[in-house]
Amino acid sequence: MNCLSNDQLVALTLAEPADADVGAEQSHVAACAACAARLTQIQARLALLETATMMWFDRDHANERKRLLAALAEINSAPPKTRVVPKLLRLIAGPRTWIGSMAAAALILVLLLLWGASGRVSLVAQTVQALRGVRSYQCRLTINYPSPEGKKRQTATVKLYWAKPGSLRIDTYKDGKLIEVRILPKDKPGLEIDHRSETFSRLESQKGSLSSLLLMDKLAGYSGQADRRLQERQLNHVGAPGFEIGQPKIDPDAGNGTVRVWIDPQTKLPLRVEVIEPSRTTIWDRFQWDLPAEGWFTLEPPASYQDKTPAPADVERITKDIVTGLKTYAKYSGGKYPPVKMVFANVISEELKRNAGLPVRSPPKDARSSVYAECLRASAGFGWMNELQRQSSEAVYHGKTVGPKDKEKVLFRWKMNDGRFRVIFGDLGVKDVSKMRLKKLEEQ
Amino acid sequence: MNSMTRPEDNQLVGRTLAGDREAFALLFDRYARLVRALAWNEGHDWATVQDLTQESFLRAYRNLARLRKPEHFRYWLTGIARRVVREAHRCRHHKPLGEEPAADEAEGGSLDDQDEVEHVLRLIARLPEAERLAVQCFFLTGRNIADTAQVLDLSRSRAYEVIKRACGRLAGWLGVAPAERRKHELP
Repeated sequence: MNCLSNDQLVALTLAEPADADVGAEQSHVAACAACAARLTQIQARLALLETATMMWFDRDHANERKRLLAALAEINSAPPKTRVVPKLLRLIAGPRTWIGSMAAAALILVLLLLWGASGRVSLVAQTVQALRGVRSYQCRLTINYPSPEGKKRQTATVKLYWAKPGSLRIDTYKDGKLIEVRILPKDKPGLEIDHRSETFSRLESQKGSLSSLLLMDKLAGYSGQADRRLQERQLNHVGAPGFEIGQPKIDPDAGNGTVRVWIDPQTKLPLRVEVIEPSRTTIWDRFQWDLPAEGWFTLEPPASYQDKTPAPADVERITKDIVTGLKTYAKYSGGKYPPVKMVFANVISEELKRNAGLPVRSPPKDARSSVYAECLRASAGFGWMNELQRQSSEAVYHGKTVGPKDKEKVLFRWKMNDGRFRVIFGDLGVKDVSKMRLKKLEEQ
Repeated sequence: MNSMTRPEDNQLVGRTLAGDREAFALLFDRYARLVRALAWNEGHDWATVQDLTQESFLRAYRNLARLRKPEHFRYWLTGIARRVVREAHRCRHHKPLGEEPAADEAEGGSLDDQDEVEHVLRLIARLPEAERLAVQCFFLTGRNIADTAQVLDLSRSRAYEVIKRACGRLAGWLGVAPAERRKHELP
């Protein structure tokens, strides 16, 4: 990947989850000293901009506050209450409407209860049940982004292939032409083929959640109810009933959107799914269920394509960043490490800032302070920990039970390419050990 | 936990309606900067900005009981502020700055702290109007893109794009070097 542009680094600084996938950019910054330095510069510049803006519009605030309070004192009492209730009472308590309104309200209530108790629940439950029996599927995803003013609406088309136990293949099209293929076999290294540059890259195995693309998986595990039932829609020449569920209920990590599902009335499997998010709408359609999946996940790139797999990040650099992160956290957190099992970099970084007395959501007024710089550096270490944990279940963190005084206890460890384990101990000492030795260490 | 240390807007609205004027002053502390920014960006001088801010808050106070969703106070207030600013009819535009930053501005870095704020504000003033207001609202709402979008009546993604573009432009003007045009190599 090329070094990141200022706009890309700003996007990382703004940390907007709705932006396009920034995982690659984050990984790049973690491995590129030049980009990491520019990112720090941008963060400092944005802090300066923020401070300047706040100071400018804060001028004379104390005097203006006094002025406002004096003006309020001249208004004799509290803000006048509106007379909404009496007006409402007059409206509904008229002799001609009162009984009728009550009867209508009661009828609506009964109908709502009946509807809620029957169709809404069973429709979702039936779909969930049908999805659990699916062995494979392919479908089309059309992602529509809001159109920038005066420009054509941006659309991306993806063909998705999924097969048990969770292998995924994503074919991306542009103007009807296949431009990129990502193959992610469950728990195995993957492959990315770029047809435009005629190159390919081998990918680390991804055991973390690819939540937005594994929506059917998540839906199959859903045990709640629909938020509402949708109007029937004509799809594939049948009247398809539908329901709507808030996206966070299905997958809390996937964003704050709405999922609408229309199902085949016979098979109960989705015919069309719409995921409506503030930044985009994704339409899932053209589902084909239980197809033979042989050949979908073949990891053979075209023979003439060039291997562009990036060199793996240096383990010493990763270790150094992690040790720095943990050390900084302990320094500002009463000598304790993050008391979690899974290290989510954003969460721990925010906690660190809070503990260091820095504002959490925005840089401090003096964004060039050494404490702020320390916290920024520490974030890189948490990022690595998160990435290692996402990639492998053999990356384990014991921050709940191990502290800085635990010289012999394993604080964090992960498996390296040579099969040995890199261990960071409670006192932040580092050692490479075999699996047997690690087992003994962790039994202590 | 937040409600223990920092009352929510709806709580402050409730207290104001119960006669607690200090609660309304806390809302003023919270949102006066934002209202000033709205007025300032319409080209009013500072004294007028202060008057319009006072008027906006007084109008909000008088009509507070009509606010149906107290948790939406900030959006409601900025709506009032926009009306107040429109009614003022006394525009005086910002003094235009040059199209491109001067050489010393583009280099960045070596300014005294006292001068730095003014320098940065001059750069913000050079932004196109939509970007200027977006970036100010973004910082004045505690870097909250959703709030910025609501205040500016934009979609969230649109607000995000505008802020991102503005911040990228400002970062360049403040001396952050562009990316090197070469393939990344690990150190």
